[in-house]
This record gives sequence, structure tokens and C-alpha cells, in this order.
Amino acid sequence: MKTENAFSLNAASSEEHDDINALSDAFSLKAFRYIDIAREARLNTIMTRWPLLREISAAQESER
Amino acid sequence: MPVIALQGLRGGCGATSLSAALGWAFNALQQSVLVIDFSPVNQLAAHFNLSLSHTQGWAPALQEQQAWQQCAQRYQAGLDFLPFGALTPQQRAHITTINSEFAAPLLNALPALKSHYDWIIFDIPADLLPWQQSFVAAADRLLQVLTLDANCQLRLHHARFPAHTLFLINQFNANSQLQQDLHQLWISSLKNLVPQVIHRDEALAEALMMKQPVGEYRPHALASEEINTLANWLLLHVAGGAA
Repeated sequence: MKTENAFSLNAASSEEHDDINALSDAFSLKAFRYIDIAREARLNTIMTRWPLLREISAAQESER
Repeated sequence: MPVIALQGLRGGCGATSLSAALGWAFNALQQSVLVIDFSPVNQLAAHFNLSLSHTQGWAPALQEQQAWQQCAQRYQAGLDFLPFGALTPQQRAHITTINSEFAAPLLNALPALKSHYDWIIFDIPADLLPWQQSFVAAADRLLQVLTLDANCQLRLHHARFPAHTLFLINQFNANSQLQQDLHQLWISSLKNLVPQVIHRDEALAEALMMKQPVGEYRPHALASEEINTLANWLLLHVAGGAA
């Protein structure tokens, strides 16, 4: 029973986003949205900084 | 009770030091622990102050058809370990090709060991030998130890992991841009990442030189406190669930 692949650069874990959205709805914490955007921008910066990560990401994208 | 297999994603990730340290941390939480060395390198015993001239261990004992139980050592009350043992060059060559029959007596004893100890920790080498697969499968969790570097990133990309795998980051250096970046990336993309990271800590490196688990050598070092937190996390998330 092997998991398909434990690691996925593309899995921007929608569950986590749902949790954030649920919290945001419950408490009207709009700040969560800004944190979210900041995190995605950070991930994009990381991907552009390191060619190895870009290549892994592109390989995973083409496997889809 | 639960069996946890610790394995480095590659050699040098610190799985053996963490096995000894985690054994110590569980024991400090009033848990009885058995740590079993599965590596022909046979270094676990040195973390528990066993004399380097002591060559006995469960693997040579089984190869010579002797009782492996006689090789177990007691570090202190509730903290036992089973050295792999030092192999002769011939035994060493043999152990890489041997079939799983060889280790069957130890595997068959696992249910009895589980009922006797609160925790059993397997220290599994990064390069898995064929006969070791049944031990990894018998564990409740495989704790795959990672360091934040390109080598591990490449291995994560190519490897397939059993469904019961948890990932643990060790040797984290917060001053490194590369490590910060990979840490961010793994937090958002790696499934089953243990929330507690273990920082790179000189105390952990020195512990083996002192022949002690890090929690005993430097109880208040950052790594010791993080390993205590890890032990508590495992008590909550593994002892509560899988076992």
C-alpha cells in the first residue's frame, strides 16, 4: 500500500484553504486572506529562485 | 504498544541519534522503551554508552543460531536497547543478500515485545535491505527523517512512501535561505509532515561523542526540548490512534 506520491508541489492543500476560509467566515478575520496571498507570493518567489524546484514543478505539471 | 520505525531519507539525516534521543524522551515521560538497531553500521549502542569492544548483537547472534534475547542491554529502568552487533566481513557481505527467514525469530517476537514495552523504536538504515521491509511494514508509523537540502528534495520527488509514513525535519538551520525556502515549500506541499521540527543543535552532534542520548547530555538544549515535544506529540497522535 504505497501512497501515489507523498510529495506534490502542486498540492496547494485545498483543505488548509478551506480551514482558513471557515475560520475567516466564523470570525470575520479578513486578515487571513492577506496572509494567504503573502504565502502564495512567497512560494512563487521560492520557485523562481531555485532552478531545481522549477524543474521538479514542471515535471509534475506534465505528469498530470 | 506502538512501534515506530525511524529512517533517514538518506544517510546522515540523524535517524540513529534521534532514535536514541526519542527513546530517552519517552522514558522521561514514564514510558518503557525498547530501541532496536537495524543498521549493520551498529552505532546505536554507542549512543547508550556500550563499550566499542562489545561486538554482540541480535544479527550476528541469529546468524550463529544463538539466542538474540541475550544481546539486549538495559541503559536504565524502562530504557532497553538491542544492538545490531558487529559483523565479520563475511557476515557483512552475506547480510545484504540474505532472505527474510534470517530475521524471522525477531519479527515473530514482535507481538510479545509490543505487549511488554510502551514503545518500540526501530532504527532503520537509509538504504533498506530486502529483509528489513517486513519490519518497516510491521511498524505502526514510519518516521522518515529529512534534512532541508537539495538531496532530500530530489529524493522526495522520486521516492514512493508507505501510507503510514510521517515526515520529520531534522538539522534545521533557520539562518539558511535555502532551508527557509524548502521549509516553506514542504509545509505547504508535503503530506503528513510532523509539525515539530528539530533544529540543528551542537548538543545533538556532541551527544554521540559523549556516548549519551542528547536529552541526558544537555537536557535544556533546544534539540532536547524539541525532541521532548515530539515524544509528547507521538503519545497524542500515534499511541492514541494506531496502537
